[in-house]
Amino acid sequence: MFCRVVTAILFAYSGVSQIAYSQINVEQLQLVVKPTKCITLRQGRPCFAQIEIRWQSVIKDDFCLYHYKNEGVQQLIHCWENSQGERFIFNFESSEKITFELINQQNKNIRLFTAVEVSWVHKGTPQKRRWRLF
Amino acid sequence: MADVGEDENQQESENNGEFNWELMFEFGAAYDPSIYKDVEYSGTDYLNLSIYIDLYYKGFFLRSIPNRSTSDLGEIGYELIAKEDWGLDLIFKFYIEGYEYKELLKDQDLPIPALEGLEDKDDGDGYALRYSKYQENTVLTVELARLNIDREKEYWLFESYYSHLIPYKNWDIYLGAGLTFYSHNISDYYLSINSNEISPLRNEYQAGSGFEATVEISAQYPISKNWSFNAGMSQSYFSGGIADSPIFERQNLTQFRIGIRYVL
Repeated sequence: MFCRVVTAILFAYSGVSQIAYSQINVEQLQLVVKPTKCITLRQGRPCFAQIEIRWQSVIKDDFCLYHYKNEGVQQLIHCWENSQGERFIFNFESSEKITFELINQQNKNIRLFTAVEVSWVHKGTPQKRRWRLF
Repeated sequence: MADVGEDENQQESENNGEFNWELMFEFGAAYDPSIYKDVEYSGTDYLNLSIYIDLYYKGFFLRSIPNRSTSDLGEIGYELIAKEDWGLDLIFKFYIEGYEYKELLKDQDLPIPALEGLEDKDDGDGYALRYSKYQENTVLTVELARLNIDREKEYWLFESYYSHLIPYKNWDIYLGAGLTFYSHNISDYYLSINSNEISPLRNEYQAGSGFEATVEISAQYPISKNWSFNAGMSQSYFSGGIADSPIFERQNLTQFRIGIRYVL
């Protein structure tokens, strides 16, 4: 009985992050990007856009935001300590989709994905050409 | 764009193995005055609906050229040689628009005495050999064409065009310069005044060979997956032999175009 009380007291005074670790899950996170599409003139041409990234958590914790292209290397955008949500502007410059990943730093298994797709007006053709307007 | 180190044979086989097509509808306004004397530009001429087509299959291609007409075929050709940085094409292309006096009158409120009585002139299209040189964002084309106007004479035309693409964010800005040389047979056919075409307003005239120099600037911007914005202007200068023709309106020609394009 005494051991159980001591265990309960120790658990009650453990760090907030430990309580957060045990309570947070993916469903309590939100990661939104806007816009979700970048339009470029030609397939293969880099597309430029200012992407607004918003993330939110039900509890304060340490999170890091990464981005990567298809099969590419993960690159760190920013980390936040003891935060419940942030708004971030990302300068998008890519000819292919970029995936954004929010990762909880206390539990790397808690992660959320979203992406900005790239589409184009003119599909790539094997024939090189320069359109004359006149 | 293939990497510099890519095998050239592989690049050629990739080029020749695909079927590609693109259909575009452009809605907008254009200022494209006639080069012929006293042909008035009416209000409806400013409205522009154009259809462009671009087909490619195993080296064969077909595409419209924006400035020639709204829907007529621009050029059809075959890639004789297609390298990463240069190519040689055999093409059949529409170069010069002919005229019939009664057709010119259709959009006019009044007769055109300066052109009345002229013999009809056929369109100037023909075969050409075109060399293209590609470098980064520039392309230089040089083509030598023989027009099929009639079988009595040979109608030669030499055209070169240099285009430089400046990508800025999502904008594509094109700067272009062109030089077209018309043999005397071509100039004479379209712009000379024969003895049976003499009138109180025009004397007999021989145009002789001449040239047209052009500079262009145009810009494109993507609006959505199927729509783009396009605008541009062109300034052309015609040499004296051409510009001095009694039926030629202006030595300097300015053209504008602005619109949105739907791409399939």
